[in-house]
Amino acid sequence: MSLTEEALKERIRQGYLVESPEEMTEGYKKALIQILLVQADTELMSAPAYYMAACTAPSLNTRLSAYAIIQDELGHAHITFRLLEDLGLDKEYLIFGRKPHEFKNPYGFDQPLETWVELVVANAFFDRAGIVLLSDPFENTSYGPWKRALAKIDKEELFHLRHGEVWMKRLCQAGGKIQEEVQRAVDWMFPMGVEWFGMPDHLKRHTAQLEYKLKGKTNDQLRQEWLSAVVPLCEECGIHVPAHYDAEQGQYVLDYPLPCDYDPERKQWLFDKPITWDQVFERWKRRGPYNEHYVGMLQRQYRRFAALFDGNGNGSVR
Amino acid sequence: MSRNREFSTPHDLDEPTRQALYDLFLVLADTKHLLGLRYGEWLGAPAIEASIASVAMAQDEFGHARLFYGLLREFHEAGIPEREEVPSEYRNFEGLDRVWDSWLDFIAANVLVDGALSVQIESLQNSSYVPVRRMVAKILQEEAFHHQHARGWLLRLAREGAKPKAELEKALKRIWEPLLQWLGRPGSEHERALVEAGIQDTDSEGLRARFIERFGPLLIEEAGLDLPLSSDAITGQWVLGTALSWEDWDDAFRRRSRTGPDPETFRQIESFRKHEYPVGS
Amino acid sequence: MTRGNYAMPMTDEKTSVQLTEARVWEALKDVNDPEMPISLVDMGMVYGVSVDPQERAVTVKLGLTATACPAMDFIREDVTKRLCQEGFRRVEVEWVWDPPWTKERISEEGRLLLSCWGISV
Repeated sequence: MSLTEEALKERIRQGYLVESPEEMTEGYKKALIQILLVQADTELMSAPAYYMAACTAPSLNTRLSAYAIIQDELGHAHITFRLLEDLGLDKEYLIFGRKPHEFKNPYGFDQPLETWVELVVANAFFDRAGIVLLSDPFENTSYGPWKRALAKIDKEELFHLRHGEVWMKRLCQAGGKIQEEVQRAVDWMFPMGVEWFGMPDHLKRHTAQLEYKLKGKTNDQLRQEWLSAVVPLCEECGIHVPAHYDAEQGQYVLDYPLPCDYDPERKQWLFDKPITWDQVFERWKRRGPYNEHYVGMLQRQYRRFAALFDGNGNGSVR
Repeated sequence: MSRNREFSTPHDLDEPTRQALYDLFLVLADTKHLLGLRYGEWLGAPAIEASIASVAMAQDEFGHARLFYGLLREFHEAGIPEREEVPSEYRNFEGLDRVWDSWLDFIAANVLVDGALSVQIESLQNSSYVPVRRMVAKILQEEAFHHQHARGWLLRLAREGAKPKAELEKALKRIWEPLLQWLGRPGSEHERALVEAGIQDTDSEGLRARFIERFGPLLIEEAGLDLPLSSDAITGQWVLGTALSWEDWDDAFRRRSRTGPDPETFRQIESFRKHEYPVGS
Repeated sequence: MTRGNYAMPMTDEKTSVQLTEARVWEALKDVNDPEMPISLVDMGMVYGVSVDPQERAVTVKLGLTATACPAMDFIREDVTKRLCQEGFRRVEVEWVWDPPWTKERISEEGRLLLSCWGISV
């Protein structure tokens, strides 16, 4: 009982929820795996990045909050890898068997988060991106198991967001050097967030994901949603961002060319060096400076531990 | 003996008891703090479920450390000066000074260190010092999960082959003696003061007896591990085969040396003070 | 999260309404656990309230689900904000560990809500 592409898309248009691999076409399954893998890897790789910053936490309480967030992110990764397992993929291989460059997390989580301030801004910007990106499938996705998993994930991400926003405001209220430090973090992390949402709609749409209704909104719509939360937050904090609301267009517009070049060593965007999206994809593919380090942290014990069981006929760690 | 008395603040205690209780709380706070740091380092556990459990347990330890550090504040108000923030002033269990090399060290500490901490904290369940008595039940409720986790991994490692079992034994032996000592030196001023004031319900030998009664059956009978511990054929009582040497032992620090956490670890603790952020209370 | 918790308009600024304990309990139903989509009351976290109407002061005893609660600041802030809306001038939050909070303290309604969010208790 093979299902044709057209029949599946028609069902989905009528609001039907896909529940298992038997109800999918190859095309649907491929697109679903792709989008889930990006989510799983994003959640997973945020953990070592946040951990690195947590080591600079200014108190036991703040370190504790950071750990709570890290645990949530690992939990979300776990849930999402389980969804991939149900689609026939090997969870253990996905986490421990892949090479660093094979992980599909955004470029932002290839960067070192070096201070408490950067963690706070990451919670406010990157977790906001996560919420925007995941609220969409939570409302719109045609894949039932994912929709249900996102209910819990969404709630917890809201806590991370509040953590980021409260701390950003608190730090900026202190003014002076501390506010300047927030500004420096925002200077590299804001354009990182903008780029997170990918190519603008007029250049390319990820049609498969939209046609299968894995998600409901386009890159530009999602980017606008993110900007409409992040720009006012920064304004309230007295922090400058290179974007503003344009009343005539009824949307946020950027004050710099997207895309443009980035120097990861100096954590600096080169607004005077516009590039093409192909060049962006190349930069992503080259990976950021902490990609190997973060994957190394996560895979630290796996092989060594598995080796303990060699000769017992039991290579599995589970 | 003052078993019927209750103490609500450090001011109610005589000088030696106040100092002994302060020392106990600081040892517990620093040890739980460092244990939390060590647990938290295991994002790279051999399975993602284990990484999640590690970060969860790290938070519990921080939560408990926060409670004990909180108890210390009143002691400072009662005249005991705050310690100098240098590694040599830290009173954590010495097996927590450095990063653990392997996941087996993690499990060894999860069983033994967490276990010894719980035995010590249980002895405060009916404490005459009211502020600590009120938090014991909550701490032990959370520790029950740690014990379950430790037990599950211990039995799995011990039963799944000679190699993991041998490595596990090595890891346990690395901390075996200092850990048993950590429960206290028999006849010390500290334990005398705490037991006499009804703060702690037994002395160090009593704590050690409880510890081996609890862990003997698990380590020796269930897991079949080779450790210097056995049960008496006639009485069934567990007997320690390790003679503890108390040379260089510091009763206040519950350590043999005052080296404290290594520089990399201490740098992280130091960040609690070397900043200008408005962290609030 | 506590989005939309403070939407309730304050119509009785004149303080003609008495500051009673029942009213505090009612108001606390609007304050959610920052990590759970249900109120502190349904979570069974409220161990007691005591009101001093003369001083317009209230003390709320809260039992946290975990000693490592990362949201103590948020909870204190949310409770204070909500009770100030009720007309209190001084709000104190006291953390209680004894008896420890357990899942059994969650109300029937709370359980129902949590199961809707896919959280089993």
